[in-house]
Amino acid sequence: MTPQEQLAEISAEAGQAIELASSTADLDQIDQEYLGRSKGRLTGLLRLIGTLPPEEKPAYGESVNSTKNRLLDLLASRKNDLSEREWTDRLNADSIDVTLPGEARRSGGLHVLNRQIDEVKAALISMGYSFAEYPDIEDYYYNFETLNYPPDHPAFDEQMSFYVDSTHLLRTQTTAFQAHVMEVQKPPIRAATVGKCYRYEATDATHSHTFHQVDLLAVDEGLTLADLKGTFAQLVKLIFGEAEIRFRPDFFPFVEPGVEVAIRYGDRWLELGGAGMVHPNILQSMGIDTERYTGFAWGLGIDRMPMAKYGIDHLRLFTENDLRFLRQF
Amino acid sequence: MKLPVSWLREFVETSLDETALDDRLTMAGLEVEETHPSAIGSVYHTKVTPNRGDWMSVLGTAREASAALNCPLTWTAPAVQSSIGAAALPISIDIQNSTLCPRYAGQLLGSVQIVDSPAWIADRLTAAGMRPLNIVVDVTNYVMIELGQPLHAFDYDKIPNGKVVVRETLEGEVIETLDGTQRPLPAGTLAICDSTRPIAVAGVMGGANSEVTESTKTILLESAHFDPGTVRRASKALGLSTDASYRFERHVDPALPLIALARAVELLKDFAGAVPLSDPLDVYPVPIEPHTIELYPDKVNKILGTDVSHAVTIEALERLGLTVDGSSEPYKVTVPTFRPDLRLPIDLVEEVGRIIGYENLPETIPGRPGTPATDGPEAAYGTRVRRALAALGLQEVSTFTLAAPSAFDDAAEAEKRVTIRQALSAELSGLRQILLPNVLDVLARNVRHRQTRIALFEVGKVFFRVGEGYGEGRKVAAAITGDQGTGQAADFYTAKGIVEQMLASLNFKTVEFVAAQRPHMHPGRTANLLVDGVVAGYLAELNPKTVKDSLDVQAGLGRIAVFELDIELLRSLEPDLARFKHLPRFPSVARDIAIVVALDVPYASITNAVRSASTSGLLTEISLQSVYTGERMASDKKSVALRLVFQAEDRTLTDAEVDSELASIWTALTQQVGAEQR
Repeated sequence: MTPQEQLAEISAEAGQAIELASSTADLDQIDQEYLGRSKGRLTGLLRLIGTLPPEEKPAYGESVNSTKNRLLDLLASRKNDLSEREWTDRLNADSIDVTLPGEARRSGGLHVLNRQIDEVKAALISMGYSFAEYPDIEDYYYNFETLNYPPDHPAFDEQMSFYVDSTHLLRTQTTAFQAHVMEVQKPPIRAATVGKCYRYEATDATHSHTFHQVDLLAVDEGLTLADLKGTFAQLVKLIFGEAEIRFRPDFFPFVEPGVEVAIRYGDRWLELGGAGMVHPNILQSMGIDTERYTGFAWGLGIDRMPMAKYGIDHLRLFTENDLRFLRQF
Repeated sequence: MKLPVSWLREFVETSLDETALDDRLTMAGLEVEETHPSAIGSVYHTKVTPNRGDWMSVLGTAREASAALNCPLTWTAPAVQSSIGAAALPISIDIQNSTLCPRYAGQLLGSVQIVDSPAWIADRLTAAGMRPLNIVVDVTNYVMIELGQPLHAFDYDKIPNGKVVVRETLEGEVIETLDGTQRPLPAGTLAICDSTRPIAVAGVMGGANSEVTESTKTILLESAHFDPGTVRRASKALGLSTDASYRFERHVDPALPLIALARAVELLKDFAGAVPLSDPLDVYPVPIEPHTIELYPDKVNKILGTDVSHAVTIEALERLGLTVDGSSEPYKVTVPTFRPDLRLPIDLVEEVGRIIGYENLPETIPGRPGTPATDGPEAAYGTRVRRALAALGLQEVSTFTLAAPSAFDDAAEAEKRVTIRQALSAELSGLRQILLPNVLDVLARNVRHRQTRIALFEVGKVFFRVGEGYGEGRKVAAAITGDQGTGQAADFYTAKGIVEQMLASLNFKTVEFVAAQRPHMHPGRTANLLVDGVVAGYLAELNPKTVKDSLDVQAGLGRIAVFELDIELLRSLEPDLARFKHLPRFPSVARDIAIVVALDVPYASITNAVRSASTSGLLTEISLQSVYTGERMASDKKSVALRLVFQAEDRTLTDAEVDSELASIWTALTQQVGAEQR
């Protein structure tokens, strides 16, 4: 066979092999066999160029090269097809049932009541009120006396308290923080605290011997009851979104005027706590000039907020700490 | 108080239906808590605030409604009849302390028939929550509910010579009250006495010795004014609260006694056939006069944040029955005796606000001072701890600080427990000293609810005695049991991993865990956490024997890992901020070594030995690959495989350098922990 004939034969053979190849690995082998640098059969044909008469050499060299290029193109295109299919097959083989359950991971969580406290704090801090901690075991002086409770006042009957000795009790209200604040701060004051409070109460769905309050105290020039109302409305908006609020006269010895604050919850009013303008007796006893300064304050119950928000129907759920309950939030 | 609406309507003229009236009263401050039906129509249950004793009557409520609704009060006081002159029978009233009893009025009534009350009186009393008895008792109650003035009827024939003395009791005096109870009276209790003995506890309850009975013919009707504090102390000392004492404690209008007496006499004449045997007797040495408050009218807008005219202020006060002299500033506002709660100008501002209606107040936001607002440092630190633990897969719980003593308390600390005086139950007997018992309670409850994967924590206050005073601390405690998702049941190392990660998130770089003994904890699986050499808490597995004895869970639950740390202490030791370190630019070299040491050599001793040997700073990491004990090892030995990582900041390490490091490490291991090569 002449080199030309050999070229034609090898070219046909290689073309057919490429056509028949069923994997990219086969193609790699074909590539090696025909076009390998040292042992490739087509590459070998170039070496036959020496046996040809000089006038045939250029044409022969060119046709070997063009055959090689044609085969390379063929290989590349075939490889492309096969590789595509191979990936598809591989990924198909790797597919799974996505409806099977996920890995058994469980993130922890914060207690729903403490999350409410965090939320109230964040809201009030954003409104300019700084928080601090005060003792749960409180001096009678701070819990009652500094709050304008006259001795022998019937209000004492309404606050059955946990006494630890004759002058100390578990605070019945975080409002006990007021005198602590005013002892060390002068106006303008924007202070708040949150914590547990304690009263002897018959336990039911919405009452417990322990509850959480957030107290706020603002003392400044020109503060009014309208400011208190607006500030409460702002807090409610941050916590509950749009909710109707109610301001109603009520009596607490430490405020005058005194109000009860409530929000509309479903078809009824949910009383959140007491508020009002700080009684001038208190400001005066703290050495604050009542001609120049006025103040407002509130003590709101926290526990009822998540009850309203999530429709929780019993306080007991908060302290039982059933994981099936806690993980709902 | 229970207030029949039809009775109220007799005193105030309004076209509002009972729902609208309820709403207006509530918005004026007199909350109608509930409305119940009765034989004579709806009954309001009003919530009377402690400052408003005047609301404890139909008249007082009607006054409030009249002011709030701006509608007429239709009540007029009955005329006081004084036409008899000298009393037909001997009667004398002697007030020995006019501070405690400013006023004592009485009237003698004869020919009294002790019969049942007419149905309309009985029905009204029943609706108001009282039990009808006989006409005399019923009329005293009726007038009390109607006007707010408690009355008392004595059987005149049981008072020798009609001699009544209002005095404080002496040591040792006793009275049998109308409820049939013998009551020793503390000395100094204000009592109504005959010439020798108490016949009533002033303002609280009458005595059996002067009780009106079936055979009573002549009565002395008492209508007095007592000091609120006196009645309150007597009621408290005797443990006896009555409708009368409840009202006197909250202050009764001193102008009422004669009016109430006249009203009662009118009713007893009509329905008991009573005949007055004396004019009303009124001992009132120092009459209590209406008082005056000075009010600058601008104060109203300054406090309320409103923009109302002076005329509105005057009208509001006048609607409430106050008299305003507005001819000059300050206004002189005269307060009737039924409103003793109004003492200061601010009290008048509140009254104006109530009449305007708080629902009509604007909502404004005050300006802010320049200082930034922050959370307190203790709580903020607690929040970091809480978030770190939640991120590590633990669920936060929240328990009571009031708690019963627990088997898991530390008996050595029992003396420091803060206890509640006169506790009503064990659960309310004192304050927790540590968090663990509560957290274990929660764990046990969840185990009983068939939870198998439990990891709980609480951050909260703990309490203890300090000398004569009290201290409060802040701790974090956790309890973990069951497979946490690793395929293995949680144990000591689960807790340790959590503590390590938590501490890392709080910037603690080097802490120590030292084997320790703790009450209720597994003696071989307990460690103290040391930060800067200070014990900041512990982690452990519970002693399974204590679990069996003291924790209400089924047997075979498996290990329970716990920790409790003092986060106030951690906060005080908080390290500086982490400083940035350049990332390594040259490759590290890792070498694994396997050593054999005695079984009781702690891992910490091995790593200490390794660290002590490498003084070049090239050793950057030691990590544990495995610990092996078993058949291929002598029974008192263990094999420990370590990976050591070496790295230099300025060059690629050569094998020779690493080999030299390893050689000195081996020397140290041999010398310090008796290690042999595996």
